Amino acid sequence: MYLRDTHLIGHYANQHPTLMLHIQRIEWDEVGLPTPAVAEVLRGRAEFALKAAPEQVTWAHDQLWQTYVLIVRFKVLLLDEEAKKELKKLLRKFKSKKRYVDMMIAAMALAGDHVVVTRNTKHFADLLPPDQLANWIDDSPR
Amino acid sequence: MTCNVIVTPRHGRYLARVAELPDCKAEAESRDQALALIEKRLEEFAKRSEIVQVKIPKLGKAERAGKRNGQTQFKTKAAKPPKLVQLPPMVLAGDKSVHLETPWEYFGIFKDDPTWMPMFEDIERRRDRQKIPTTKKRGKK
Repeated sequence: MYLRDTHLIGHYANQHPTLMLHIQRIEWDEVGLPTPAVAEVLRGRAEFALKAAPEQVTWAHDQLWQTYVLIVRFKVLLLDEEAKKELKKLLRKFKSKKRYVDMMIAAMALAGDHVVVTRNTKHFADLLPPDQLANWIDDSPR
Repeated sequence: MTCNVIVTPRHGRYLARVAELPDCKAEAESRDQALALIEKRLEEFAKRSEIVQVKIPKLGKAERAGKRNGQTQFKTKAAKPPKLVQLPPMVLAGDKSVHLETPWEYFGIFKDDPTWMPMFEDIERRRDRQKIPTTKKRGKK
């Protein structure tokens, strides 16, 4: 399965042309959203909805709803016990030198033998082997 | 009328979909056959359909005030959800009983939203700043 890093949701809803070419080549069931990505996007939208000025408040809450409806169009992968074991291994290896959410997503990929799709490959380069990393924004499909 | 047709090889066949009309699709053994089929379907669709221009309601008081003050105007979706909504369930990756189609109708849904991509820049900054949480050990009382 291809695990989308959070900002890939952004590029999907922002109509990125290279991302579209990649998506055309796969079955949608092969694409999953890891729960850390779901949490980050919903947190962002929820905070905006809660802090919106009166002129923007209905629009901000509607966008929160639309974002949820977009997320349920993806299959969601839970961070499970196997991923937790991998996360602990990564934490022992890298101490606090790495970004925690990156480590969560990498741990899920290691536990389930998934490929992480991200533009930030440099952040994942030492967490995952090269065949478990893909950049669907800057690299065109072969 | 010009439409964008997405042609995807699938299981040895070719699937043609109209990006602007997600329900309009055709599958065939070759790319050319799939394109010919989708063209025919589009012709049929165009014969029995019409394009109607709908007027949008006038700006409300608050929106007009915002425009006068030079504030950013935000677009509102034409189709509003009802006031009481049931959250659609999330589908877990292990659930083989549910097959999801590529949601092309959502591709680009927030491209005109000025807050959408900055939100992801903020998410990246928060990842940079976040410290690794540790389990606090309870001391003896």
